[in-house]
Amino acid sequence: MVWFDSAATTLQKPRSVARAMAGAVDTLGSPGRGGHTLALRAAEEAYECRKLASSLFGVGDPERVVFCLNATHALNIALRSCVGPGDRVVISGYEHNAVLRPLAFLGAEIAVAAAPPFEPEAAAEAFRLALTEETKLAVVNHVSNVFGNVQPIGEIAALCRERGIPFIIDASQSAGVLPIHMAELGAAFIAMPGHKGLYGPQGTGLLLCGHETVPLLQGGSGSDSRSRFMPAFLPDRLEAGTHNMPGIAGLRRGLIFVNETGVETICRRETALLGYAAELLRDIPGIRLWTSSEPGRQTGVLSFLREGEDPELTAERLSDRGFALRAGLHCAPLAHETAGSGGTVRLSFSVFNTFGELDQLAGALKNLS
Amino acid sequence: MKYAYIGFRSLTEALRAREILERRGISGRVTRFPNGGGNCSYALKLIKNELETAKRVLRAAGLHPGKTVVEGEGGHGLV
Repeated sequence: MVWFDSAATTLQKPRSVARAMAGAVDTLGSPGRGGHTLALRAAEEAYECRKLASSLFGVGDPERVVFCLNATHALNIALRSCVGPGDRVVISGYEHNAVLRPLAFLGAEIAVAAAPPFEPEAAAEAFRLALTEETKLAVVNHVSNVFGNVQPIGEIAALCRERGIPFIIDASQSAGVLPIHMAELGAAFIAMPGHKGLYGPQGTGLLLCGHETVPLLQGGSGSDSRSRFMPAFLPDRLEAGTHNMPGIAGLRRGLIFVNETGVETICRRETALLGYAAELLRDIPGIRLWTSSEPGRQTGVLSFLREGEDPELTAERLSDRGFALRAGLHCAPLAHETAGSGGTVRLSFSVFNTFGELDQLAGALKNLS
Repeated sequence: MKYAYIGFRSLTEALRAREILERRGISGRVTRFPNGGGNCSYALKLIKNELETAKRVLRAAGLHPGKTVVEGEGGHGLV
């Protein structure tokens, strides 16, 4: 199967990821649970992973790198830490349900700063108008998981800083693909999965913290055990229960891979794949594409439709021919409302995809009757 | 040779402390804090003579070295 669904999860990982996970299963104890060699070895592994993430994303302090199950888990913690009932929260028009549903649950008053995809100036202007004095928080999806449009987080961050409004970045599609520097942005939180552009395994995610936190889970932390409450300090405050050590060991190897390959190299590769895919698909009659020819406005996600065909049917027919693409709303109905779409077929890349695979896909699409 | 233990609020901070001190040529080992089963915390075990320098270095780095235990003739003693 040719994997074009890296916006959901990257299937191909560096070989070191699986090796580290297998090694972790029978060599690592549980960090914070005892002082014996294998508990401390696990703690070292977790610490090295935090350090790498801290360095890659400009956090400045490994203690503010918190392990989560995925980006959704990380976003839930971040939103709970910032939002109460009735609080006005400004979000972009491309937020995932991982943001919309927690905000609805928390009783936030949601204001959408909507702008067409691939128009970062319009997106920044929409935020400028929406960030009123009453606004308690802003949330921005760095790269849409539906259209791959890159949102102007630098400009939005500056607007929020000027107004003293905390902001959260959902880096689900951008972590490992675009440069992100927490300290320069001044974000309250940045949430990301470990299993997409960081090439770690599923079941891993990271929350980078720059704001007061409210735990989502309560339980053992291996510290301050006499207290009935979670510790006041990070990362223990947000990491109740046993860590996913095989996952963390794998994530660490993924981070090493990203670090050694270089985010800029990965971005160049994915952008080149995207450009080539758009060129091929544009030449096929009856294909509608959501893309931008302007540099820097789109990364490795390309949505399209075959005229007159349900996107789910297109994806099913492509699956029968050996291509893994996702169709539908991609858990982001708001993005479709904003862009005026009713669902798409999504082609998404990792650094392991090849131009030859795209030629094969284009051939298959041409041959669909 | 006598040893001292510096307590930290978290295991992560103890590991960070060890790294900072290593860069200054002070070796330490992360271990459980010997406080009689008190409160599940971690410590950095180092040579007693390096204790005060280590605490100064760590405070300057923005860390939070906590209680200290020094090995005495009759066992451990909090200082």
